[in-house]
Amino acid sequence: MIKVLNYLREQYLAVIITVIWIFFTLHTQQKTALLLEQTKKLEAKILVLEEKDHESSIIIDSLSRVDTLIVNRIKIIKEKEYVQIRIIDSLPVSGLQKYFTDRYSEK
Amino acid sequence: MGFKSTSQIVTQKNDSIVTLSETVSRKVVSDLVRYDFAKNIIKEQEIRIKNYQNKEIEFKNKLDIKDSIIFHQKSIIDIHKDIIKSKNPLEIHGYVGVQSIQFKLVEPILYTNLMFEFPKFSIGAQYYVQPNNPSGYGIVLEYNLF
Repeated sequence: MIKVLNYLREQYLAVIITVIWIFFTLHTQQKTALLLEQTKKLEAKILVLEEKDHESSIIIDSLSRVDTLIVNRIKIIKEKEYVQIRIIDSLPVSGLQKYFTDRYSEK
Repeated sequence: MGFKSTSQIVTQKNDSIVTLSETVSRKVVSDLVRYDFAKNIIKEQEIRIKNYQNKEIEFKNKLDIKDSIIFHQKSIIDIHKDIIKSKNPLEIHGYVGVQSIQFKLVEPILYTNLMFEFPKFSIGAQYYVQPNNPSGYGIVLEYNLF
């Protein structure tokens, strides 16, 4: 033990350098661990955001489908309108009178 | 020769009666039908506009989310850069040089260094030779000031 201590005392510069090196290595390891922890947190945030993005895409898709449905409904309304106009063309006078009566009847 | 005409059957007392010819009344009915359907179409178009507005809001949300993802990913890249820097702190270099004594070229020291260089400091060994003097070796320790 004394021999070892004497050797270390003789090689004090190497000991100091080794201690400094160990200190820096530990410091770097600690810093790296901290940075990795930060990375994990950011990755978790990104996952949450990607989930939200996916949900947003689903909503946009459903809204697009709703738009297609509305366009189809408008088409149907226009077709009905066309049919109605055709019916009016062939409606007898009594039918026209009935239309006015039904539309403007006072209740 | 007959003359067909229509009039509203249910009328208020003392209300004037307007007589329309069959052609005009047919046109009126057509216009009214068109008006009814146009109202329905407007309703549908209003729903469609609202749908577009919702879609726009969702697209904006999506854009914000994408921006946030890009921002976080940039942060991750920066962190990884820092990790890479701190993971490889040690570089080994060899140097050969001449050192004068003051500003004279008399008996210059010729030396060679083997240095282990960390970001903040360097450590290494030096071997030197000098004319008319014995050669020697030593340890070099340098701190990076700037």
